[in-house]
Amino acid sequence: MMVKMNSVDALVAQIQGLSGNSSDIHQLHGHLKQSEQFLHSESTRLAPVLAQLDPAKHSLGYLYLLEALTSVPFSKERANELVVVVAGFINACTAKQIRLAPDKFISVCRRFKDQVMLLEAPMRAVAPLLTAIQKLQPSTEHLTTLHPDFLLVCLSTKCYKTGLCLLEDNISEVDQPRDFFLYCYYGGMICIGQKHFRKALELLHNVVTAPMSTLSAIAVEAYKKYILVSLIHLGQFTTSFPKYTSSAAQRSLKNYCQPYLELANSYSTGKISELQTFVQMNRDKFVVDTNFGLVKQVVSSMYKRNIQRLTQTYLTLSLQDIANTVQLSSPKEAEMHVLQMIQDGEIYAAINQKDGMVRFLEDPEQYKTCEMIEHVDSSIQRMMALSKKLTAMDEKMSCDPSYVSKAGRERQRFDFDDFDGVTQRFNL
Amino acid sequence: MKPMPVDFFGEDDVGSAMDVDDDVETLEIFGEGGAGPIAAVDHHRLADNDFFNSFEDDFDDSDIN
Repeated sequence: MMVKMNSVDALVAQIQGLSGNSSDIHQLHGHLKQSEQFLHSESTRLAPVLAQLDPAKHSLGYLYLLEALTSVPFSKERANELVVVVAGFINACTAKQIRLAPDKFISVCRRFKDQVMLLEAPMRAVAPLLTAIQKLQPSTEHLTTLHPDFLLVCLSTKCYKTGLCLLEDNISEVDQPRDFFLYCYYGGMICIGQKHFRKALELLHNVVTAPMSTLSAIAVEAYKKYILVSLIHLGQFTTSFPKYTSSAAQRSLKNYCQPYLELANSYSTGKISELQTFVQMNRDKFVVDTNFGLVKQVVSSMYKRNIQRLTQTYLTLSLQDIANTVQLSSPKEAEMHVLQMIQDGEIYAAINQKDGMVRFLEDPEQYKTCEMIEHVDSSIQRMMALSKKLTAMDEKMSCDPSYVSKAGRERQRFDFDDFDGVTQRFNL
Repeated sequence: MKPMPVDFFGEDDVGSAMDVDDDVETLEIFGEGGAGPIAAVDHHRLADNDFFNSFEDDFDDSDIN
């Protein structure tokens, strides 16, 4: 016992003494790696030791101790204490030090997330996980394993706006496919929660079309939501897949989503009563998938689509006629729908409440304001930056040995110009 | 200005997106093992079928406004 405590004390002294500069920290890291097994064997005795360390100055050493401490099961009371300790560490730690042991940092954060979920207090993880991501990632373009965990707690707590801030980053570096699938799926849900349907479609599309040799359950759920959001936002759904979709997805995805494809078929008739009947008959399936709320949005969107169709035929129409044509129960309900659509920018119209007439107007946008010019200019700048990045990625990929090897074997299936200069047989 | 809605699964201008080139093998960069695509679909074995998907909110906004 005395020998073991001295070893812990010795390790603490090393952490305190070797956290000053890069060279010392490098040396300390070597000691910590060698002591890993010992720390895990002493995990139940490490809690009081943490108090001797400063999570900001001694981040690397603190991390190793914390990882060992959290690697064993503990009681609910203990979990509460540890959640506070880990949150405090995440806020205080030095990014440069924790990036030396990213796997350990990720382990600590994931266990932290698991514990707050078990404690049914996911809100306690929202801010710390965002901080953890910002400290862990080398740049905002890197997707980490913590990204989906953060979005998960945002979804659990309905903190959609907070989750949205992470989705604004352009991701171009991905390590694990599963992280990417989950990031896009959860991200799509965050966007749905904020009614950013265009971005939701983009993210869900990424999951469905991502390379996969075995169909992923995440892609199945993403496709279901994609169909629903497509109907809500676009008023239509296309069953065809882009050519770059994996063969696994093209072969099997639709088999898992039949009720949703049938819903899209029913929607395409434009008949609200038919759609409502179909939804009621298949309600249980949508409820089990936790998609019934979105399905109800699909039904509501049909009223909007039908009103939008009217704007293409009529210049003026009474609220009564709108209600009759679109099968709403009253002119008042028609007025509510039209007002909401005007507010959302989905139609341009004016309501005369005296005579109950709606006048449909042209889109007033002239595309010649300063704001519009700035918007177009920033879009062009963004496209140019993306194009430059894509060119760089393409050049890098064309030098990748496994790509060149495979492309060399497939040479005869493509046009000559695609693989100019690639030898017929390229063996590495 | 309201951005134009984009259908990401929409038809390409060139050819029909319904056609799948059977002779083009998709580069399965994230594939499991080197055996190539699975020939027969096993409906009970989806990858990642343990992922967390139990959220309270099903986006029912019918009680809003």
